[in-house]
Amino acid sequence: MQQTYEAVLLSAGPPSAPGHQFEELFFEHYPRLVKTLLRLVGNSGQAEELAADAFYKLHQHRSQQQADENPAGWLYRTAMNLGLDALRSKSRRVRREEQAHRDTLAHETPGNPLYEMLAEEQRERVRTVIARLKPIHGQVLLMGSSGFTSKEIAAVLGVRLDSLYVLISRAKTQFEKEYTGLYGRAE
Amino acid sequence: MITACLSESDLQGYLEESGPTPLRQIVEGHLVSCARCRVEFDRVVATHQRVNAWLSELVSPADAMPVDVQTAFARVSHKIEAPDHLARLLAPAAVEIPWYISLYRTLGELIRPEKLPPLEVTSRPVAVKTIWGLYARDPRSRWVSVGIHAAVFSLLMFGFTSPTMQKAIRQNFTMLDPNLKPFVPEVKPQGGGGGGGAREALPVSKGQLPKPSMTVFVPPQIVDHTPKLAMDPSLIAPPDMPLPQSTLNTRGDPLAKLMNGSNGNGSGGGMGDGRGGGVGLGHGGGFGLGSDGGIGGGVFRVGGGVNAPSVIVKVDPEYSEEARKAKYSGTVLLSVIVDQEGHARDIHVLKSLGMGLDEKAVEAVQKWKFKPGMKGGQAVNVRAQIEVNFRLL
Repeated sequence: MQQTYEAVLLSAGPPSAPGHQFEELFFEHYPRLVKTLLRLVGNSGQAEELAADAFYKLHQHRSQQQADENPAGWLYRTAMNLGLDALRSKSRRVRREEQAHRDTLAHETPGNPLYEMLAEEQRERVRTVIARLKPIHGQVLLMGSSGFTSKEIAAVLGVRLDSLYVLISRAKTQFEKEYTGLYGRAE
Repeated sequence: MITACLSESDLQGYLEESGPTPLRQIVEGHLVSCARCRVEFDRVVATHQRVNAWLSELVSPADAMPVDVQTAFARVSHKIEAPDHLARLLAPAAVEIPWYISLYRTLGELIRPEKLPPLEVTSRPVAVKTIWGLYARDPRSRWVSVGIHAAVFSLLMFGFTSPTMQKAIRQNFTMLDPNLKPFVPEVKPQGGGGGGGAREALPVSKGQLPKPSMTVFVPPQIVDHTPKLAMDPSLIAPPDMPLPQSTLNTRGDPLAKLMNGSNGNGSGGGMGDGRGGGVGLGHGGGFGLGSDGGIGGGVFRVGGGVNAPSVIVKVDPEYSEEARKAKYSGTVLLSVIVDQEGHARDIHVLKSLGMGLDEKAVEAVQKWKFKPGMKGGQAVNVRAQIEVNFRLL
């Protein structure tokens, strides 16, 4: 029977050797981490690069310090922070890659390119607003929209459920406030 | 029963959880009786729906793209192992063996060589063709090579040696004619000569000429007695002038045919058939034909250490009546000998004008006074050319 994400995230300790555990962790969480980061940055190549960086940091972190009780939580938090940092950066490289990715998407949907262009513009707005939020709020909203359950998010962030609900409520309120402030309520 | 109002956590938890959870039952029960919480609940729900709608926009076609986990893991593993590999590269080298141990081992191997097991040759020699065997693939190449060599040999041996071919080559070749005359310095001949004799019956004897000198105290002569005050005889000629040489020790003319001890049938004290204190057939103290010293015939010429004479007193020539009537003008070129006293003599017309102007030019030049030409600080007779111009104003 396949082990669920929640069971992995909530697992207490490493059942095997460190190298083997890292490999298991990688194969277990890498695809989902890439998908989550893809929503955040909108570029599959950059999402994979950020996910790989997060795993590399996890390996460095575990080799320098004691084994973390919640390596998956540490991994997701680090990956989310890396994604938010990348989203906030306004470097020319990122803008060029985003433009290239946007062009790729337009070519992939030859049936309705205008709709895809508008959708991508809407996604850019959402990412802009997420980048303006607090990191913890951005993580909560992004993981919630990516299919994480409340218990998984609480396990990643290391908080209780009632505290997570407060975080979600305040994050959404802040998101709405930022979005309407930038683009108006009509949107 | 009225309970306390719902908290923000309760309202949001009701939206996040699904199914009949205890929290959802408590919230639903309270909302039935609390209007204020219903208002707050409606606000939370509205925000929840709007934000979820916006966040759902993040779903894009790229989400369906497969993720290559194996490649990604290999890339991360390589990145993780890279520092270890770099550390191994930068690690200090293996501990070197001290020199004395290395020396001891080398000497030991030299004295007692290590017995190695016999070499097992597992390979077998393979016969290969020689390099000449490569030509066997195409026999035509051999015959082509032989043909080319034969053609070249025939062309060299028979083609270029035939008279027809050589004639054609000679006609086509451009022969160089190096004309070096413009580059050869002009040697101006030095004129002059001399002669003498003692009026003897036999011609002058063959012998060696004396040294040339511009001052002569004793003329060259064969004498029977030994003078009390002996002086070396000399010829009148520049000291650096080359003279005909003879291997004989006796005095005489090197161009004579017999060695008979005669001073010649000339006169003047020298040797030969001429007159003067020189040697030869001429007149003067030089050698050979000519006069007034030197060698080569004639008199001194300008150049070779002989300065040209210059005019001191000049008399203009008169126009002949015929030339004046005809309004004739031109230049008469004269050849003269300027003697040691500065007078022009032996005047010859080299370029004539006619109409009596040549005679008028000779009359005028005969009246001129010259500074004589100098050779070694002494005045000598010099042949020179003079241009006399006739112009009508």
